Amino acid sequence: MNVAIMRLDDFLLVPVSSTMDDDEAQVFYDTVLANVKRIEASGLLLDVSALPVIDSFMSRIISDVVSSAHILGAKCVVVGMRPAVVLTLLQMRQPIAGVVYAASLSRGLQKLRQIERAEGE
Amino acid sequence: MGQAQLTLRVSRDVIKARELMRKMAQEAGFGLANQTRLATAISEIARNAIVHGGGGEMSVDLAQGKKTITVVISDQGPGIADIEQAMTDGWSSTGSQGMGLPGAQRIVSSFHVESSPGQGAAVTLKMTE
Repeated sequence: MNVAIMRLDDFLLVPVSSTMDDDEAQVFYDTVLANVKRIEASGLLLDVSALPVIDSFMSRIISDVVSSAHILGAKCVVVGMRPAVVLTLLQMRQPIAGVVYAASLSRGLQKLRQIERAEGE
Repeated sequence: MGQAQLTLRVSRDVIKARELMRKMAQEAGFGLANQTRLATAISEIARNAIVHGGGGEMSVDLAQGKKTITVVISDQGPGIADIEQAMTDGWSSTGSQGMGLPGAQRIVSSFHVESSPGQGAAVTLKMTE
């Protein structure tokens, strides 16, 4: 499986693929975390806008990537979750806890920069 | 496309199952919210059949003109000893989060689990638009 990872200065942008299965999720986790460490990323944008479905397994992968990247020093923002997916997660009573969200990539970038500025003060 | 069958064996089949559901629900005229709910529930149940049941079969039936989709996912695995326990948030036999079954139940119109130890498990769920 190819994991697409784009670098924007000290941030990484990672689109999550809608065809990722459970076996590939481990590769995804390893690849993203290895890259966060390699470039000492200060921020990670996880783009979930391509996902028509987020089930409990995918929720857990997202949550694991976010918590692990955080421990490696990268602030994370999950961007672009589809409204129907948001509603489904809420109704299943499994919103992904402890995660910063943004509606779009540009809002996500803004949030990362805000977090950085707030910490720099 | 009133009926469909799918064999669930490997983790890729979870993706196939939910894509099939989304497509059928869309063609049947379900709205985006119910397409998403149904595909998400199927994703949970199909994974359970593969991980806990050692693989299974899924059959889908779309009632003519009624906008009701019935899905049965069955496996020949060890079965569920205590269904009530399995339907409880956070209970898991494998160290997963234990949110699959209870979560799926909350987002479909009707949900029924039939199982006994050694007899496999069958989950029947319905979604009405």
